[in-house]
Amino acid sequence: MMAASLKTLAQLLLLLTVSPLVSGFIKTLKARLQTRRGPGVLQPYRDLYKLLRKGMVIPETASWLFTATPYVVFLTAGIAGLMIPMVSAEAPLGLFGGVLAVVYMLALGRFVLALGGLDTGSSFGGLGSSREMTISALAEPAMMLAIFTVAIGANSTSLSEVARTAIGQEWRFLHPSQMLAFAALFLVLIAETGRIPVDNPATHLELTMIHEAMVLEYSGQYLALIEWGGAIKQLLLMTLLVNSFWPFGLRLGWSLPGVLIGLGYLLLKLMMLSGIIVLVETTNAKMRLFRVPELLAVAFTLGALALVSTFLF
Amino acid sequence: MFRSFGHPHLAALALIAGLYHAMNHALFKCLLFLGAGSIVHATGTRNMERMGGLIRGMPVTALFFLIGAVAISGLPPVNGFVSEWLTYQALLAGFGTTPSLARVMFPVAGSLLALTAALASACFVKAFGITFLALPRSEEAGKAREVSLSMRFGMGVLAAGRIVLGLGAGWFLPAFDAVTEQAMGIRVSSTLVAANGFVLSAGTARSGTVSTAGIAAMMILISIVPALLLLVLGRRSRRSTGPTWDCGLPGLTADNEYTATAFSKPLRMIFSALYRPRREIQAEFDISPYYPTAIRFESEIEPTFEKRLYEPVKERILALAGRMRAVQAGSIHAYLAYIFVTLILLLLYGARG
Repeated sequence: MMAASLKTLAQLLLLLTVSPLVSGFIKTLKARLQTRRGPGVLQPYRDLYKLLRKGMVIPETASWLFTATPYVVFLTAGIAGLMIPMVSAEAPLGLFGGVLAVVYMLALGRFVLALGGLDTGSSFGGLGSSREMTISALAEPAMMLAIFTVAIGANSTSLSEVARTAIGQEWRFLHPSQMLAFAALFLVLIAETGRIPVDNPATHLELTMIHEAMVLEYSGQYLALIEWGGAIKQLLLMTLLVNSFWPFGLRLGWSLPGVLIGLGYLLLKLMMLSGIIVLVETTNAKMRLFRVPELLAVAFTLGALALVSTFLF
Repeated sequence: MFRSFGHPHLAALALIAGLYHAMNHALFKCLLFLGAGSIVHATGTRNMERMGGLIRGMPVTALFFLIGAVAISGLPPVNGFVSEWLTYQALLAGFGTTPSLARVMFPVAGSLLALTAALASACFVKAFGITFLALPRSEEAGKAREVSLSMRFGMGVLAAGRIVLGLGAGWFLPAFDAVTEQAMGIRVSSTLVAANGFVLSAGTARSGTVSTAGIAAMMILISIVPALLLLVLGRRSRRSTGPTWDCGLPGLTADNEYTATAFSKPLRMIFSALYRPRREIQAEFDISPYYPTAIRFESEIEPTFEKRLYEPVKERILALAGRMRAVQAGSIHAYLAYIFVTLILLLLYGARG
């Protein structure tokens, strides 16, 4: 019980501290690649600190749901983050749920956030909610197919079990089915975290924003909670991707040296994945909203191919 | 199907998933219909586009409707998620039961289930958001008051049922043992439940586990983090209310809100091959078409399945029936002749055999 609480606490701290760092790293790397100087890796921490100390303005039209939303978004992301293996093959809350629970916890956060967007009464909130729910409805089937491909290898939806099976066959990601599933999940990751070419996290232009439109009326501490929850969600989806497909450095138990090695490898793997994300963001333009279904159809096809190739090779 | 492949355990798991979902569905549909009834009672309209802001007048109904909406979208920690989780587990395990290509069917069914769940949550974000949130779109909606205690009580019982069946799923699954024993001859609930009913598992040693009660407990525990953050860092900050950003126009009105039709527009466009939406816009103008004085907008969805599947079948049956009518002339002589001919034919058949 004691050990379990310690593991949970350690991973919670890790989620809280590393998630702004990953956002900052992606921003800085992107700036460098576009020959800009960029704000520096630590900027998200400064933003969060500043937002948390600021007062906030609540729209007159909003109800209690608007105030409950930031908490739910933050909590669902945090709990989902505790269900995935980060620095050890064993997730602290693995018993409480596997990959399905992670997906559905994030869906709960999105559900409530979309309601929060509608609660303001402004057209932007409704626009953002409508688009977000549409895109997630299309991303879900592709995600499920790719997840099935991963789960079939371990014959389990438990992420700790998936990681345990992967240990010892680190180079399995070169297998066609794994590569196809990785590609499918990568496209879903881009759609879910609202990055280019699906959504642009840096824009506040009415016609193109999706996620930003939903949270337009949030300010101060509530905005900080939503942003932090979003960063945690991004970190956990990236970790899920790298640890399921590149299980390098994962150890079975929670011994101190094992965890430190795991942490080092995790940061390295996250940097590599961030690099890929930045390359995609820099070389692509944002898509028109009605082109996004085509992208997600590609993800779905990749997932289906991954599945078929599990028993062709 | 699993039974015919020789997997009675899987058959039992799938059966339990199906039955549990049927029970859940019965409960949350009831709850949502009671909620819808209360709304109609309070506002006097069934048109969602005339509602909005009901959460202020009817907070209790809103809360119960929200619980129903979360449950029907299959989201944790309430009960829709539990039966959906069991279904996914049955589908995943089904993949391992047969070596043939037919097993691809299971993951595809899984992804279709995911699509359905996601569309359901999009639909209920719309249903709840447009009905209960933001500004009232009509005078009746603005004046809507909470419904009577008896109506709230009915919804309250069902909403409590959602939560109990969701959080305490492990304690209810043994109730299905009698069913699976009769159909399959085995009892499986003991393999599905671990840690005294706190955790659900999919029945095999290494399979996935889930605990809705655990998730709910963690949500309460971890909420300390944001609460502390806000208390410590935000002790000097002020909270004020102000108008929603209206792009500088004089005041935000209900006309600025997103409507139910607009909310589902992207999905209508993406699935336009299936639904074939039709719309008509007529604008009247005096000086230039850019300054219309009146706009009439009509939008309609063609009932695809009715038109392309049911209608042709119905027409064939009717045509066939029309031709059959020639035989039924209504004349007693003709009927006697039919009976006579049939009798002769039967006698011939019998004599030959």
